[in-house]
Amino acid sequence: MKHRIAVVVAAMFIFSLLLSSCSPNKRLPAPPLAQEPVVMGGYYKATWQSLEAPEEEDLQVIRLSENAIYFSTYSYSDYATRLYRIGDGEKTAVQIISSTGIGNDIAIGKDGVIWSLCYKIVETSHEETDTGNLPPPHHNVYIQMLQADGALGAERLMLENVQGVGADVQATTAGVPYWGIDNVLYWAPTGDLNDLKQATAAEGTEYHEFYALGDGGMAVLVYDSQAGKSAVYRLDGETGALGKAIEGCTGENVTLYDGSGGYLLLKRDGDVMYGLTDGEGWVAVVDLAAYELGEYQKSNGFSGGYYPLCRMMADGSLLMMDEEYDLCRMTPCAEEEAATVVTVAGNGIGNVTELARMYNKTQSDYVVRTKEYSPTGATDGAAKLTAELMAGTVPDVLCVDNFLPARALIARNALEDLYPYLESDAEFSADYFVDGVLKAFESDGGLYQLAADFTMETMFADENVVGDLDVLTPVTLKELQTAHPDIALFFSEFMQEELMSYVKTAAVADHIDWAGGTTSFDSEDFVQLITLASTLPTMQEVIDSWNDGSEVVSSDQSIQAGDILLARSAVPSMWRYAHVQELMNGRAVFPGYPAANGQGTVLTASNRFAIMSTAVQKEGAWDFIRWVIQYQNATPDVSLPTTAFPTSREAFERAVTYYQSDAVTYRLTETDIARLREMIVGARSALDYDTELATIIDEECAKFFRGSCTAEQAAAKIQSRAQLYVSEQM
Amino acid sequence: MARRMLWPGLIGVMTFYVFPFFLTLYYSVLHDPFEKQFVGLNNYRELLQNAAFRLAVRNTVRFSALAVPLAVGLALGFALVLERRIPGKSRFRTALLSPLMVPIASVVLIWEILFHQNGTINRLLASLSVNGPDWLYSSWGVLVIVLLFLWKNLGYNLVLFMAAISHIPAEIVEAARIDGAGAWRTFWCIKWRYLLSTTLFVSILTLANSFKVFREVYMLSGNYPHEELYMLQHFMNNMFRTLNYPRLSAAMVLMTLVIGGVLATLFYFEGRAQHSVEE
Repeated sequence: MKHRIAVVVAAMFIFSLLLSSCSPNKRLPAPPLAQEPVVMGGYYKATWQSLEAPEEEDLQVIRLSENAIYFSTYSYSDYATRLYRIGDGEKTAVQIISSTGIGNDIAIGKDGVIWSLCYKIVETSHEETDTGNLPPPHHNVYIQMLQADGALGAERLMLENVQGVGADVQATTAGVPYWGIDNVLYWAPTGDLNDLKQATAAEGTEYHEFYALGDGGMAVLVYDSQAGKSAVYRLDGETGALGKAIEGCTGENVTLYDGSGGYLLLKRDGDVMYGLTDGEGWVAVVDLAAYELGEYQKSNGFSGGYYPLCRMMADGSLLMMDEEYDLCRMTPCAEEEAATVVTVAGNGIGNVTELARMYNKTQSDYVVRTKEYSPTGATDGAAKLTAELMAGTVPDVLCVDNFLPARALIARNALEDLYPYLESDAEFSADYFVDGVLKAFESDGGLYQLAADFTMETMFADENVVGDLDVLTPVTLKELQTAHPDIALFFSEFMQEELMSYVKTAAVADHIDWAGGTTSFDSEDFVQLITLASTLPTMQEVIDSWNDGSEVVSSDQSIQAGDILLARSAVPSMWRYAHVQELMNGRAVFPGYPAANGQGTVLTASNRFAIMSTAVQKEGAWDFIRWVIQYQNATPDVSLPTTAFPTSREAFERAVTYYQSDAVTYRLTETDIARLREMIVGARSALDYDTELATIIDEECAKFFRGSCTAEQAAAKIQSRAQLYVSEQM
Repeated sequence: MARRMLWPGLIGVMTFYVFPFFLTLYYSVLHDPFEKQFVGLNNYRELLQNAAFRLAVRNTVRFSALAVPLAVGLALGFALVLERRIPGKSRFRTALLSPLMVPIASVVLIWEILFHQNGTINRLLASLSVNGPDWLYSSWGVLVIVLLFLWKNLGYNLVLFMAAISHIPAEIVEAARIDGAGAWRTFWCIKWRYLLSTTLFVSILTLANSFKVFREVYMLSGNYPHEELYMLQHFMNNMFRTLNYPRLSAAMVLMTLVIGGVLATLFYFEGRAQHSVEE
């Protein structure tokens, strides 16, 4: 009996051994890693390198090797795919891979050998499909070996006359190239294209990207269409069989990179770069958020891999490519050599983050990090700022917007007056700015915020109709109506919300005496203003009117036809100003919105920068602000309707010159330019927007507009509540 | 062992009460929390001269002076009534207690529906050809808030008084009746003596609650209500929002001193009342 049991156990043992040797999930023995894993930490110095790809060529594939950067481009002018190599800081065009190339992919082998996957078009159909698109061209698929100098070494045709084949190429660190073409895996262990090995993907699975493992092996991302899942498997270099799935390579928002720096693989999950080690699995290598490489683009499922955009070098530096295809090399350095960090915070500052990245790429003394208070630009940014102020951790630069309590911050000495900065800066003084702009940016005689550009809001009229109307007060408004009873005062779609926006921003200043602590919202002027607003259609009414089928006429057309006396206009750019003057044959006058003091043109700016008085890096903060202003004013494309007025005098004069040149259809006259300058100098600021007062006005006027109270009653309530607010501040 | 048990509580009190108080004291003598320039009592002087602060103090004192006696007196009155055997006693008690269980947000909503300019009450008045005022944005607002305060707090005070009444020795009251004492004399000479300490305690609680009426006013009319509804907590909340921490701190210190003084006085009298009953 004992003997029988021993035989059965032995048979089971042998059977299980046989079974395990046949199992596709058998873990293959991994060769040892060439080096100890690099541990990031301490202080780093970043140096940036741009690929400087020709602008007329589309970037296709970028590969990093130990010694060089390779990238290919596709040119729409000659339809050629070109390969470039940057080594030792020098860029050279290596080779035109294909004169009709599309979808070429490359891998860098040993000694600079380039393994290529090349599509050559053989037939292009010009007949549109049902969807209106051209069908993909037919092409032949080749694999190639290019010499280090780009010369074609060998080539082999793999597929003929096909459409839309999925393919990838990658080489191991030992130089063995792998191709995945139409779900068939090819590899050349000897480097001879005529001596290829091949393996076919199991049914229901698809080969996707390859990853060169840090130990010289190769891994492939396989998609199982039945399970709807992807996984990365080590490939058997002999048989091409899939080994055991590598753990931690599934899931969303993960980007995989080839192994380097002593790690089998690298993966970026959020802002953290992880490395796969032999013993400890995935370990966090570096927090990339600290290096301002830009926001990590979230993806659904796997991304990357196609571009090996990250490589850890043996010297401990990290080579990383950002979204603009610029390469950042972060090298360890001593604390004193590391750039000083300047923090910039604000609401919805995505564009400032872009500027910060550009600053970081070009400046070396400071590195700017941005802190988003609220991606949606909502009011909770103010709460976050308040909490930081309480905690004593404030940013160096604050991006001021309407939701951050700028007035309160100024009153509490929380913001630096920037005039002394301008005075002590030899290259960037008050003379740098267009006349009147700094005045408009002032608050209580101090300059607490600066911007690179500005826009204006105003109303315009035909000089032939209204005469030289340079101001619009409630009195002149009535006079206009009396003088022209047959002409409508405003455009039919001049909305209540538009006028109220002006009332809540700029007009508020007419009714507050901050020095004396008094308000006058119950004045006749204010009552007239909100009464005027009540006569205008609401946004909803205007939208409803669009559905009644009547012909849509624009404000510009109406004033041109003489149907209205005044047209509201945003003047966000020199283009728009020239356009209005062209429209009116140079007869446009800009009296602004109705205002008690006649100063009804409103100047505003986005991306306003302020320095916190408790900033740790005030010099760095100023350096960043002046850089942004100078950078944005360097070459603004003033021919575009969306390019705001530059705050730089020089850039402004360049724009004036442009709009007086033959490059435009309507050349601004000296009178037009003088009017524009007058408008800027006379404009009032909308920068002191006060959310509290705006809320009070909104709440009380809403009751008036609904008919719950009279204008006088609404004004009285606004006066009572606003007075309370102003009294508090005294 | 007993001392060791005290530590967690002591640390909590030090961290969340004592330390913040001294921090507040420190902020109250600075010009601003950023440059931290010492200005002595300047913030206090400015505060006392500030029109909004004075208005807030005036309104808060007036509200407390109006609402606290009413809330205490009415609760005591109801408690004495409910002590007797009257029909519907239980329902009446439930009705008075139920506001305690209603979330304040829904209470405020109901109040707004009632007292809005176009609300239920004004519609009723309109049906009687009476033009109702804008209750919440006029001097009538105080009345509305007092009503809301009473509605919300009477039940709790009532429970305390009913508990106190139940502890009055029945034999003493009975003996007084037998001796021919009328209801008023029984109340004044016996019940009141027993209820005095509870009355003072209820007054303290109601006074504390009256300072917290900001929540209701804020939900009804925002940061800047009608000037007669503008309370001390509006001032403080708005100082926080506008980052004026020094002035906020000064106001808090002053308020702490005043409330501390009032409460100490009330506690003193409560202690004496308790002592007198025990004697």
